[in-house]
Amino acid sequence: MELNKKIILTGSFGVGKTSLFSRFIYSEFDEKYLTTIGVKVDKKTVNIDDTILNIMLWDIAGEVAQDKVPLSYFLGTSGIIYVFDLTRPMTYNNIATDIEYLKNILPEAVIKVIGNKKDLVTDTHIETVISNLSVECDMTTSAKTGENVEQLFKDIGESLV
Amino acid sequence: MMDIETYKLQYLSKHAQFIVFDINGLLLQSCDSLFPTQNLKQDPVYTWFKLLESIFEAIKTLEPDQEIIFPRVEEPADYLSGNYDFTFIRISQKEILLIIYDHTKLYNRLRNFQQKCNQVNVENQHLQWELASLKNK
Repeated sequence: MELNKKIILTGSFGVGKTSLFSRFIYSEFDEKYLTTIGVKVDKKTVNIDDTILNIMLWDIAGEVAQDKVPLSYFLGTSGIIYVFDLTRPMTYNNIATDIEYLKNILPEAVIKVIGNKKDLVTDTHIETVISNLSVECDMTTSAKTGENVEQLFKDIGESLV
Repeated sequence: MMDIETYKLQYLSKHAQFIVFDINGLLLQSCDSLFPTQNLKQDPVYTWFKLLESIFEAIKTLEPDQEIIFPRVEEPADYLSGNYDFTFIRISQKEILLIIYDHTKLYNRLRNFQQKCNQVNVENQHLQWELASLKNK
């Protein structure tokens, strides 16, 4: 069986959405920060058991609140990866409001909450951030080292097939 | 001097491509202002852009005359390396109009401004975080 699923990467600016996109799609990482102003889309095929899953990945410009994202970008979305930066509290202080908003506009979508840039902080720091978070954190990643990136897409892929 | 409508048409046509395709993705018409479709037309239009490929089923459900705009689409294809707005309009029961408007110059300026703004904000947030950490020691 072959499936196409649209997954969006969203969250505040500078959290590493584009780096996760490049790491997953092209196995690349660039230290230089380049702002996304709209949306970039690319595709990667993964195998989940007997299913060929074409992940259509949307890298969306970071916004301080999700209600600033153009509604059209959410059309046909099956999965949402909400990314925050483990080194910047401003990127997760309003996470509950953002997740509630996303659940309202896409009630059927699978949502994964991801703390990125784990290479920049200690395990103790990660534990503190996650324990104080107002929603459950599904995974921590590093787009720089690639840690957990493949696993993230495998997990969300499994939830979608 | 030319007629104002001719000026308008000449100016606008350089920046926008109009494409009509059916609900199966078959190309019906294209003005080819931004890129030629001669070598693409044997493939369904939804395979030309990953953006469209990922939402094609949803686009097919647009109501007559309904339109949906995707602003600031970055590098949507190898032959479109800038920044564009994509507008889809259901023009009949079986036909969809796609308008691709090239805003590369404008959006490049926006990106430069946004880049500086975001960098300053990120640096400020890091400084605030460091300051709070020092106060807690």
